[in-house]
Amino acid sequence: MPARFLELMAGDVELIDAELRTLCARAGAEAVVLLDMSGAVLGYHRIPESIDVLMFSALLASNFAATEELSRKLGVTDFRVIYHEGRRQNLYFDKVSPETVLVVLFKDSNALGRVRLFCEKSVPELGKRIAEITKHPEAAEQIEQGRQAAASIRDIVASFRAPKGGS
Amino acid sequence: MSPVEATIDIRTADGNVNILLEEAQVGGIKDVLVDLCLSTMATFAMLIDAAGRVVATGGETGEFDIEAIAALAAGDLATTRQLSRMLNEPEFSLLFQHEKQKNLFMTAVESDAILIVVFDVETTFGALRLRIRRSISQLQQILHQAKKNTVVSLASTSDATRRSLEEKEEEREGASAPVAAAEAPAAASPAGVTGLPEPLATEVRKAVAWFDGFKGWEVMFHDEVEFMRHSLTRNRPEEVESVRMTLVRTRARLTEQKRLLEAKFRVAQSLYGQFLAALEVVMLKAWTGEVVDRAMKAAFAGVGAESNLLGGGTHKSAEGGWVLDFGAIGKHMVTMCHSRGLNYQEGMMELMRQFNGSLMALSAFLVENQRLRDELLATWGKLYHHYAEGLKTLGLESETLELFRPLMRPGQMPKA
Amino acid sequence: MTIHNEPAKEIIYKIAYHGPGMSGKTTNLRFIYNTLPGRQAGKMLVLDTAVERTLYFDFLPLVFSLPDGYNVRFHLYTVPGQSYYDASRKLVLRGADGVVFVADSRQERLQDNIESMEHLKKDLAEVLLDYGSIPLIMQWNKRDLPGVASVAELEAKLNQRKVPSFESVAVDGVGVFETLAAIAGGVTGVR
Repeated sequence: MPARFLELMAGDVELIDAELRTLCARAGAEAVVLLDMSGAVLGYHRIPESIDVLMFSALLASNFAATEELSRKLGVTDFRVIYHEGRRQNLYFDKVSPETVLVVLFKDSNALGRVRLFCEKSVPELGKRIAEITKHPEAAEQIEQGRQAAASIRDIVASFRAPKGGS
Repeated sequence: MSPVEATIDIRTADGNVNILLEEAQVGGIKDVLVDLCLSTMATFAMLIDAAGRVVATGGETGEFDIEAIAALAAGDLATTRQLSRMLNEPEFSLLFQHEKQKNLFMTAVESDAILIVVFDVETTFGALRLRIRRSISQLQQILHQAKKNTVVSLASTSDATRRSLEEKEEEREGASAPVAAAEAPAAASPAGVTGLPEPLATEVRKAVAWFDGFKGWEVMFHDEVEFMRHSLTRNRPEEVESVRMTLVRTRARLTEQKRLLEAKFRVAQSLYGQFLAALEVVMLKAWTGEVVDRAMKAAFAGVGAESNLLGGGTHKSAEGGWVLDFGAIGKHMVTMCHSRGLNYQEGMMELMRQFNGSLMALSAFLVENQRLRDELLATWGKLYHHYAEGLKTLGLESETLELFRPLMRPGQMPKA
Repeated sequence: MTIHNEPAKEIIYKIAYHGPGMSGKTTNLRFIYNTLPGRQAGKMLVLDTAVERTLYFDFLPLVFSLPDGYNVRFHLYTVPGQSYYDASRKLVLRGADGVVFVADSRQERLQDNIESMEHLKKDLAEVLLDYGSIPLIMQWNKRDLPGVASVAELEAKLNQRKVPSFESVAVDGVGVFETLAAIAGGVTGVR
């Protein structure tokens, strides 16, 4: 049984996508991602094709986590946002819930104010939705597909052993 | 070459390289960091390598878990770098702002080191940015020079690298080849016979034993002490005269250093005692005793038992005023020197810095109130001359006066 | 943390490889990455120092496509083993559904293994996970080296929960997939 289990149904996905789309448009952003702090992506809008979404979200989540912990070590108690300023692009992180973060990629650093403003509007909406998709951990064990996948790995193990005496 | 103080691991096309930093270079880096903090009122600044090891720090680091911060910052930078690569972004600098508490600025220096600056509301970020650029170019110069001097070699003098190389050997199965350390281990011959004649041998033994108990002086006279220590286990008649001269000279220099240190201590006692009293009087004009007490406690107590030298020695006297117990503070300083391997002069400098930090904090309380600010400046006027002279004696003039400069409106410094 | 995205037909599990420095955690992932075809193992991310010690984490996303169109993902992470990285290590455990403890079987590293186990318990608690119930698999790695402790001793000293354990020589791939299969079973609720 996992510690947490998030289950997104069609309605949830639609709502999250709509919120991210709206935010992206209003803030004039290049891309928007909603992340779980375990590193997984919960939704995104307009991430460039060339970017490996899985690696991107793992890095974004771990970056936020390290900075959050760093700020704790510096005595900050209510850490919520990060801003990375680059030469061409900027990243803005806003915490939606203890385990969820919203990330906005945008070009013009002068737009930071606008990004912040619209994130402030999106964060509570997304927070509500996250609460609703958080299900009881036991439900995770009902997923048949998980077990099937685990079985595939056991098959892989068996296939290694198949040619006896080989090495 | 002088002893290696620190190393920074970098990766190159042909393998791993350590940038070996000599003591002078680490000192140079520290100066840049201290300078940065003083001129921007940043809380502290540090330079770490990409692996998260601390190269040097400057400013008030006492209450923070520096190593954890360094490790986290390195992880932070590693992820930021990957992100910038994925986004085809040449560089990201990190800023996280926190209006009421501490803010952090982090940026890469050369590709191998990270500069971290922690500041709070007293520092304006815009000014910091400009000042940081200067610090970065200064740091780049030092690192660049160190790179040029670095020898690419497997037999590095870095303990960490040696250990990791040993483990790498083990992982590759087969006998682990012990990697020769570049430094010779300290001579520790057990029952060696000394070639020194008797009265001298006893004196030398006593001296060496004394230094073993006073690490703060041992650090300062390290070479002489080592020379004398070795002479006790070697039979080299030709050395006797050198040993005698060393003993006599070391004793003389030590006496002088001790006298100087004591004098400085007395000056510090007088300066800071007076300031404390004056500040207390000014503060009492605006606030109740309770508020003043809290301010004093906050300014002198702080967190971080080992490095905070003042907390244990600052308290209210029976008569109600605040008192600095220099005896206790001195003892704290000695303990800190021993545990950090500093000599006592360095310990004194650290103490002065902490004092100044505390006085700054207290003064900051007062400058917000215009009337009190004027009172403080008037008090300053009386004390300043005495203070400036005292600081000259302590050899601290420019560094410490800089701290108080922001408090003085231009043109208001009283003439000597 | 398990995620089920029903419209996308996707399930994601997170598995963390824990253990003392240089015990073979990254080696496990590298072997998996090198063995599985590209459609099953995504690009591997390694964040390490110039002397190849894990600095923050490694990340390897695996995906198994099922006949019914579902994609089941196992996101593998390794933590930095060295004590120096205590502060960042626990962050990698956030939202983990299962843990593999990779021990260095050598006698001389027994104490390091024990300490790392203590770190694991502490780290899990700090990220609000329960050591007592989280799916856990033990891997006794480096069995091929001289001076290894007996499996019995490793079991006694390190495997308090008596979870399944596997002997391995990760650098050669021995035991790597057995371990992975076991932890995958654990996090998907296979009893």
